[in-house]
Amino acid sequence: MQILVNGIIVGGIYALMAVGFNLIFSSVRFFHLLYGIIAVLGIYLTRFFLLTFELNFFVSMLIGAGISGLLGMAAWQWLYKPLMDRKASSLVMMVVSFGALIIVQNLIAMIWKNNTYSISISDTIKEGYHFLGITITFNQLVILFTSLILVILLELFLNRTKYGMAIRAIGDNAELTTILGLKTNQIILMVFFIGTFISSIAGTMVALEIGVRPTYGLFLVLKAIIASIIGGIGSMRGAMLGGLLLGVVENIGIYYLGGGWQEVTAFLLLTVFLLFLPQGMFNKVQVSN
Amino acid sequence: MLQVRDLNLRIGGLRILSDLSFDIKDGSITGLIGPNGAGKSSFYNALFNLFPANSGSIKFDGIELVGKTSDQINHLGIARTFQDSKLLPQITVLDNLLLGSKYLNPVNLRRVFFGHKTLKEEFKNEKKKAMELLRKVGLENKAHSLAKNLSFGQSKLIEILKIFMYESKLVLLDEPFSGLFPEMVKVITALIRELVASGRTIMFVEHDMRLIAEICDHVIVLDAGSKIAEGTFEHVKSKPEVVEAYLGN
Amino acid sequence: MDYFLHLAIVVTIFSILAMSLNYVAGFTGILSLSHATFYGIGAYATAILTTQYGFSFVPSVVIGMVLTAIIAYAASFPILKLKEDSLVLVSFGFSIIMFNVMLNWTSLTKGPLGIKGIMAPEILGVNFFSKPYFFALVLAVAIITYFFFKRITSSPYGIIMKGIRENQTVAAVNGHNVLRYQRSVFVVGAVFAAIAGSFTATFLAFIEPKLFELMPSMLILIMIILGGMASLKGSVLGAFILILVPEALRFLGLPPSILAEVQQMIYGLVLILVMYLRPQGLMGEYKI
Repeated sequence: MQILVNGIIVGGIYALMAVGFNLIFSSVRFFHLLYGIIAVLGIYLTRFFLLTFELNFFVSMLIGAGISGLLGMAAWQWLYKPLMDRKASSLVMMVVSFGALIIVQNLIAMIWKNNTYSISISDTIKEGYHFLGITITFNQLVILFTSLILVILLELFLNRTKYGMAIRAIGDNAELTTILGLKTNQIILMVFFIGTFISSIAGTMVALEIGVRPTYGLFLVLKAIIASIIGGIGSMRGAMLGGLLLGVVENIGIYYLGGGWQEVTAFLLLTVFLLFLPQGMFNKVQVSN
Repeated sequence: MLQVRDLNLRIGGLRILSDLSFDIKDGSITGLIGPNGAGKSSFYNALFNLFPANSGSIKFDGIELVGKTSDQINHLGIARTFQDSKLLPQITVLDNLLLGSKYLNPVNLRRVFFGHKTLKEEFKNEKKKAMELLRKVGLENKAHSLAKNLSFGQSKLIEILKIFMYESKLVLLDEPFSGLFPEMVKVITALIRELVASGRTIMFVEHDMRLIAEICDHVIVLDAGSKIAEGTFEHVKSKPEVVEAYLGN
Repeated sequence: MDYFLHLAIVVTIFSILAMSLNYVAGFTGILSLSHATFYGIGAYATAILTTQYGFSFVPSVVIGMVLTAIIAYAASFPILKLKEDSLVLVSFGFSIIMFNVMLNWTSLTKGPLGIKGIMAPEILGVNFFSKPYFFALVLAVAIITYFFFKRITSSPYGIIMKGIRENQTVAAVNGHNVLRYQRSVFVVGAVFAAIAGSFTATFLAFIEPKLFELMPSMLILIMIILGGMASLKGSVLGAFILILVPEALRFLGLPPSILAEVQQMIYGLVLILVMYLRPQGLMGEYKI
C-alpha cells in the first residue's frame, strides 16, 4: 500500500512532466530534449529566489517557472524555428535539442556546482502524517495537491478557452504545424511557455522529494517521454495515466529489486510498450510507423 | 500466372479490399483502374505483404504469396514501382539501379570476403548493364550524382529502368505516367513495350484512359475495394457501374 | 612525448569506435545509443578474465568479442523492431540496463569500485607495456578495422546497407532481407566496439562502469555526426577533433574546476553548429 502511495506521488510528478512534454510534442512533432534541463534550471531559479530574496516558496516557484517558460519560448523562436523553416527532419531537431541540453546542463553545473540540492518548505517536514498505516510527508501532500490543481487548470484552459482550443487544433492537425504562418507561430510560442511552465513546477516537486542535480535534466525528459509513449503520445489523459503507471511500476521495482534498478524498470516498461502496444494506452499519433 | 482469390484487406477497421478475385494471364498487359481510394495501390501493397492480407489467397505460378515476406516475393520474380517515385534520394543514380539487380542478391559477408573474385566480376557486369541502360535514355552523365538531384520525370524514368536490372516475370507499375510531359510519356511507353517484348507480364495502375486504351489488352476496374468490371477496355468502358463509379466520385 | 603518445592512443581507440558506429548508424541508419555498452562488455571481459582468471590478452579479446556478439544479437531483436526515434530510445534503454548490470553485479564487476591492475597486453611473448609499442598495436588494429569496413562498404553489400538506411520498404521490395542485413551489421559493429574496449581496459589498467555510460555513447555519435555519416575517414577525423580540441583547452589557462564542463559544452556546441551549417558533417554526403 505504501509502495502504491509513493508510486502515485512520484507518478504525479511524472504525469506533470509528461503533460507539458506532450503539449509541446503534439504541436512540433519532435523530441524537445532541452525540456528536461529547462525544468531543472527552473528548480535552481526557484531555489535562488527562495534563498537569496527569502521569498515565499510558492512565489519563488511561480517566478522560476515563469522565467523557464520564457526560456522555452526563446528556445523555439531562436533555436528550433530557423531549422524547422528549413524543413529539418525530426532527428536533426532531436540532435540540436540534445546539443543545447548539454550546454545548459554544464552551464548550470558551472554556476551552481555539481552537487545535489534539495528544497524544503518548512522545517517540520520530516515528521509526516500517519493514517490507515500509510505515511505521507508534508512535502508529498504539497506535491499531490499542486499536481492536481495544475492538471485541473490545464484541462479547463484547453477545453474552455479560445487559446486552449487553438492549441488542441494544432495538436490534432499535423498539417497546420508545417505551415508555420504568423498565427500558428504565436500559438506554438504559447505552447512552449505553458509546457515549460508546467515542467518547471514539476521539477520543483522533484526537488522537494529527492533533490536536484544538473544531470537530472536528461532523466526528467526521458521519464516524460516514457510516460507519454506509455500513455499514447499526443493524448493529455494518456500522459497523466502513463506518468502514474510509470511511477507505480518504478516503485514496485524498487521495492522488489532495490533502488539500483529503478531506471531498468522504467526502460523495460518502455520497451514492452513500444514492442507490443506502440500506440500506447490512448493512441492519437503513432510514434513510428 | 497470377490468381487472386477472395482477397480481403482491412486497416484499422477500414475495409480496403473486399473479396477481390481475378486472374492475370501470362504475357498480358493488364490495366488496374478505378477512382481515387479504390484500392489499386493497396492491392500492390497487399501482394508484397507491406499490408498483410486478412484473408484470401494470391498465387503466383502456383505459389502462395500471402504470408511470404516482401523480399521472398521479389525473389519469385515480381518487381514493382511506387506511385510517388521511391528512388532513394541520398545515394547515387547508379546505386539506385544496382539495388534492383538480382545478381547482387544475396550478398553476404562471406561473399564479400571469400567470394571476392566472382562478386567483383558480377558487380562489374551489373554496373556495365546499368550504365548501358542509362546511356539508352541519355542519362549516363547522371550516373554518379545523387538521386535527389534528378528532375521528377527523370526519377520516374530511372524507376522503370530499375525494372530492367532484374529478370522478373511479373512487373507491377504504379502510375508510371502521372505528371509527365508528353515526350517523357512516349519514352516510358516505349520502355514498357520493351518490357513486354522481353517476355514480362505487366500490370499497371493508371488514370489516363487514352493510355489504358492504347496499351492494355485487359482491364480490371476497382471501386471501394471491390472489382466492379473486367474485360477489354471497350467492354468495361460501356458498363454502367464503371461510368457511375467515375462520375459519382 | 609521453603525453602526445597517450593522446594518439586515445584518438586511435576512439577512431575504431567511431568507424564501427558509423558502419551501424551512418551506413545502415541504425542510430544506436548502445555502442558504449558493447565497448564496455569488451573492456570488462578482458579486465575480468585477465585479472581474476589468469587468461592472457588475446583469448580474453576473443571471448569478449564472442560474448558481445551474443549479447548484441539478443539485443537486436527488440531494438531492430523499431525505427528512428523509438529505436534511439530503446537502444538507450538497453545501455541503461547494461550499465546497471555493470554497476550492480558487484561479485563479477566490483560495481562502482571498478577493476584495477589490468595488465598490458602480451602477444606471442612480446610485451606491449611501453607506450610506443602499445600505440603501434592499436594503430595496426585501427588500420585493419578501416580496411575491413572499407571492403564491405565499397562492395555491393554497402549499396544494400545504404538502401536499407534510405528506405527499408524499397530495399525489401527489391529483394533484400532487411532484418538480416541490419542484424549482421549491428552485431559486427558491436564486436569491433568490444575490441576497442579490450584495448582501453589494458591501456587505462583500470575500468569502472561510468566509462561506458550514456556520455561516451553520445561522444562517439557526435564524432560520426561531425565527421560525416557514411564516411570512414570522416569518423577518424571526428575522433581526432573531438579528442584534441577539448584537450587543447587545458593550455588555455582555464581553471581545472570548470574544465570538464567546458569540454562537454563544446560537444553540445559542435552538435548545434553541424546541424545548422553542415548537416552532412565534414566529410559525409548523407544528411540525417
